[in-house]
Amino acid sequence: MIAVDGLTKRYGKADDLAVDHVSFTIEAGDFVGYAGPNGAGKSTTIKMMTGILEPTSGTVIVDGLVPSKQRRELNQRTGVVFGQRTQLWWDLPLADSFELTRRMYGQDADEHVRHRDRMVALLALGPLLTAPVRTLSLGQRMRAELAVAVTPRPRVLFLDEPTIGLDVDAKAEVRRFLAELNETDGTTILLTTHDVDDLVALCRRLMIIDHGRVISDGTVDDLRSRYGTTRQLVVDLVDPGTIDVEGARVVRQEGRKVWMQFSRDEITAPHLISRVMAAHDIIDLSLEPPDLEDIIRRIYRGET
Amino acid sequence: MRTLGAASIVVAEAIAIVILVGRFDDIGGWSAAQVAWLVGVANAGLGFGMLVGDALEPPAFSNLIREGRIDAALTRPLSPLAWVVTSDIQVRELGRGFAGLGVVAWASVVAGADVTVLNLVITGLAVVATQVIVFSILVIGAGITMFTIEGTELVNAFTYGGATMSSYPLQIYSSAMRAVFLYVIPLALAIYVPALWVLDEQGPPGVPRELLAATPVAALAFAGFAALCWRAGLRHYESTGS
Repeated sequence: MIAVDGLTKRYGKADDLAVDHVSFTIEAGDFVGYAGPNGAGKSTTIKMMTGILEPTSGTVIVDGLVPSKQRRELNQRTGVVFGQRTQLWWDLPLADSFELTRRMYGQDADEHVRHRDRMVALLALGPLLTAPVRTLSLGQRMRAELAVAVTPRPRVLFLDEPTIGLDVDAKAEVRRFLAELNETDGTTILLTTHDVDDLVALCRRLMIIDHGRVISDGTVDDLRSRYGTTRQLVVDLVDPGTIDVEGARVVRQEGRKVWMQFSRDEITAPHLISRVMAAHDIIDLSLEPPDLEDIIRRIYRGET
Repeated sequence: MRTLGAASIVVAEAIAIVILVGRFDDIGGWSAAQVAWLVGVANAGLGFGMLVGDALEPPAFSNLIREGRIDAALTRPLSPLAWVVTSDIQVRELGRGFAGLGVVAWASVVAGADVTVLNLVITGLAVVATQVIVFSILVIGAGITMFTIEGTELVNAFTYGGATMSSYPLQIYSSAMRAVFLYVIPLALAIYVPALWVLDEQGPPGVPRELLAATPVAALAFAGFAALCWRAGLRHYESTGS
């Protein structure tokens, strides 16, 4: 669905490349996360894929089209939602944004109504249709942006930080909606975000970019098993006290609850658990997966 | 209110010129009413051109870039120029346009122009050609703004300034200035040359009335050049941070 090859962007005469020979392919129906620190080149890559920016060199093909050359034709088949920018008509009721967008995309009225009603129901926008867009809360507006963007049935959806600034409930609603859209409609989705929970909840594949280069590409589980060498064992003790077991380090303790960190390379989880159980009476224990945020931070720092 | 304001500026400008010409009897051999005809066409074209192209004015367009609204336009299946132009239409410019037409009608009567179909067509051509040129200047300015981001006020010197300078008969200008307004920014072809026909006058040497045939061609060529500038701007467009 998307083929990017040697894609490069230099702004003006800057010394550094904003995007530096990036290559990847994305299959139809994929849900891909695109992460990286601020200024890593995420937005620049998306802007080249949507036709906003012309690449300095390299190629992008989206759904068989070259974005910078066939922009209008491509826009007909793609949707774009930027978390910090609105695509809606600020002073008009939300319903008008749907109708104006329908005309812009030349969508058949019956088809439009069918999809609009479904999206409105999924995102609980019904009561907001008559409200001017400027009166919506950020969470409501973001849901509205998504609904308007996907009603023309894009084959590819580009999302740039769609959950930025949203509260926990609103984030969950946006995530539920995106998962449903990807699953039921088969929409290919490319998501950039700083929110690791978005990536874990949604993306089958995660690309990490820094200094304009893709520095990691794989599934979230891959990433965890490849880079997540330290894990945590949490133990509830019967009697308050401390634990001292070879191979693990106590990182935190609250009453009877003890958090221990251990490295996969030094000791296996079953081995550690048996050592703990041999030395202490415990009520409960849990093994926590490697923290993805921590892994990503370490990948950014080049520690892996 | 602002519509009325813009309209009254045009009328005031016309009156000022009539008074000015009255003091000197004529300007370059043209009577007050004849000069007023030029004022009217220049302002009608300016008003209707700005009506369409208001969003392209340097400060406004610079803001559109900063606010990322050009990005938004570029993700839609639309011509970004059409999108920008329709995003902001200032009704007040309509006041300038209609006031300009009013001045043209009044000036035609006072100057004793014949009311013939040909004269009406030529007057219409003059207004439309001026509108096209003014709009094209704004498009060129917007194309440049995509390079500089900072909007340049220089564009206003060409739109408002050009209209003001075209409000006087061409013979009062040096031959270099005449060449600029005939062959670079063809406002003289759009305003002065049609006036030679409608007001039954002769131009200075090198400016024959037959140049009228070049008026539509020049306006369209200028628009074509503007389209190239706009495209170059879009290709160069660097968006702004997310």
